This record gives sequence, structure tokens and C-alpha cells, in this order.
Amino acid sequence: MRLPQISTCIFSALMLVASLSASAQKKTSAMSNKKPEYEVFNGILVGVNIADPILRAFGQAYGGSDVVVEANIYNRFFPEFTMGIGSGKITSEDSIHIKVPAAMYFKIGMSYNFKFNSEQNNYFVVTARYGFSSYKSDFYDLKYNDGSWPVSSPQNILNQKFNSHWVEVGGGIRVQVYRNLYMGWNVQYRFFVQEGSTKYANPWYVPGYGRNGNTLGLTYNVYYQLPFWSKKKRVIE
Amino acid sequence: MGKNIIYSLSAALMLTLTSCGNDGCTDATVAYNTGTIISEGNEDYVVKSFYVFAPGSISDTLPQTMASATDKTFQLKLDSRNVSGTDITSGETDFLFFFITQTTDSIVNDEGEKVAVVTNDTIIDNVKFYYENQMFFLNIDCGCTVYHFLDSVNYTDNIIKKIEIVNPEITNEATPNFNLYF
Repeated sequence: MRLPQISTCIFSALMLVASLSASAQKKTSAMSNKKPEYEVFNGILVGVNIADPILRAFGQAYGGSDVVVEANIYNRFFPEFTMGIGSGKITSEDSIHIKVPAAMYFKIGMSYNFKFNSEQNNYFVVTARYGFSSYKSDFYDLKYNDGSWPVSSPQNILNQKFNSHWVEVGGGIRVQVYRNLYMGWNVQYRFFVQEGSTKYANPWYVPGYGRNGNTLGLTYNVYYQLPFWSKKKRVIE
Repeated sequence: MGKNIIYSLSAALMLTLTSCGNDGCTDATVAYNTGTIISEGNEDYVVKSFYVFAPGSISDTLPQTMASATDKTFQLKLDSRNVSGTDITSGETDFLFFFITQTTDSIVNDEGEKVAVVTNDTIIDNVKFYYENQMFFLNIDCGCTVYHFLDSVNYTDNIIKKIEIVNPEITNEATPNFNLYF
């Protein structure tokens, strides 16, 4: 596992977001100490991650999309399951070509909402997830140059099979846009439990995780709360 | 609605920040055949220093130079140009070790005085390593490297007394792989 190297720009941006969020709140932190006001089960949300498709439209060489299903427990706990598909293709400055065919990934986790007793349908959450993907990669036109001996002829390392496991921890916000429609983002710090390197290669892109070496990830979801249940307040005795 | 705009703007900021990628290649990309030099002494001469040259290397200057024969470790690059994807290939590399020796003799001059005469000389030994090559992809910034597995070594014994392989797996730039006794 690698420890993160959070640049000063990322850290200052996180502080900016925190200050913006704090200024938008009307209720004080004293509310978090009150007992839950909601029933045990308050519905199911289904979300689609649109961050990667947007980034790929702007030229990112890898990415995918996924669907997440969440249950609302006490308006406080949100167990979730994510299933998605990702792929990638790139040519480096040294003319190395890498292909990652489309492969599935899965995540299971939990979000905790700090605004659990708010009457507004806006959420501030911290999230923890465990992710897994099994995928293949092909590496083309690899040349070895150690500076002392002639450069090797281009070589290929093909059909490498990886199994990667990772953990994500982070936080985000979700707001009600219109009736049962919600939108929200979540930024995570990610690290490998098992990178899954083979005898001949480290993975370049891991579906569901992102590029190997990047420890920050972002999801931006559009959610729809299924109309069969709604949040129900109970009287505090 | 104002809060929603703030949330959306902060999301856009996060989107750009998470595209921050790597800072280029920071990994070591060459696996060196690392040797440890061990002096067993000699009554006839003193080895002051040595340097190594690899015939066929592309560099006009010597790839490995040691200032003193008492330096503990030195590193050699093995010829890996015949690597082949996921195939394990055999390789061999010749090295010429130039040992700078110093001999001190006593002679009597015309005045009948004993005078020390110091003579420097260069004595060459040939060392040939036999090994296997395996290619490994590190990352998109560093590209690939080649790992080696030492099979055997042949050498002349003008200065060199013995070379023993202590760790045949060459996967980094620091772990000692062979001892050279002179």
C-alpha cells in the first residue's frame, strides 16, 4: 500500500469545500447529538456514476460507469452495492501501447450521513468501500534501454490477467434536485489490499479503481429514490 | 437552490483535482548485477584501484569506475538486448577488469644507499557472466525493466582469486549478487 502525497492544492481545495459546505448549513453541530427521528427503513436509491463518462469525453484514456444501489437506514446509514464496467487504451510518449478490455468491477460499502436528523433531503456523508476487479491487459512495443547497451527491439507482453482488491475511504455530499431525483459527489482516498501484479507486469488501469498510482478518486452520481417508500419521521418519546 | 449551486461548483473543483496524475518516472528502472569486492592481500603487490569495461557497450567512457580497491560494492549492467516479451532468454556479458597495482622494491644506488622504487602496473582479468533475462512492465511513465537470474560465471585469475554468486536473482540496484576476491 502507498501512503498518499496530497499536494497543497488538493488540501487547500478540500478546505475550500469544507468552508463552503459549513457556510451553507443552517443548523448547528449540536443537532448531531440528538436521537434519530426517522424510522429504520426509509427507501432505496439507485444511482449512476457519470464522472468517468464525462472525463472520457474530455480525453481521459480510461474509465467506465457503474450503478449503485443504496438502502436508507434511519436516514443515517446507507449500505451500498456497486457494479460497473471499465476499460482503457493508451499510447505513451515512448510509443508504448496498452489495452485493457472491458471488465466488470464490484464494490460493497457503507456511507454515514452526519445530517441524519435534518428535515432537508441533503446529505453529508463519509464512505468506506471494498472493491474488486478481475481483468486483462495487453502491453505492446516495450523497449528496454539501460543507457549502456543497445536498445532492445520492441516486445509485447500479452494476455496478462490481474485480480485487484482495494479499499476506498472518503466523503461527499448529496442534494435533492427535484422530488425523487438526487445528485451528489464523493471523493475517496484509495489504496490496494492486493495490487494483483503478474510475473511480467504491474497493472496500468484497474477498472473501478482508476489508474495505478493515483490514490484519489471521484464519483458523481445521479440518484433516483424508488417511489415505493418514503422517509417517515417518528415521534421522539 | 443557492446551496445546490455551491455543491455543484465544489464537485467541478473536485473533478479537476482528481485528474492530478503521477509526476513522471520515480521508480528505479535498471536491475544491477551488484558485486562486493573483498581483498585477501598479496605479498608481492598492492591493488590500488580498478575499473571495469564492457566490450560492445555503447558508451565510450567506462560504464563502471571505482576509485579504490577497498570500495565495498560496485554495480554492473548486463546486456539485455535479446529480451523477448514473456519468454525467458539466455544472455552472457563479458567484462574486463583493469586492476592498477603498485609494487615497491628496494635497490642500492651508486652511492650505496637503499632506495625504494615504486612501480605501477595494470593487470587485466576477464569475467563472463551467464544468466537469464525476464522482461517486466513497471508503469506507463517508466516503461519496462529486465530482471536477471545468474547461472554461472567464468573468469581469469591474474589478480582475481575467486568469484562466488551469493544471490542469483537480480531485481534491484542494491542487493549484492556476487563476491569478488582478489
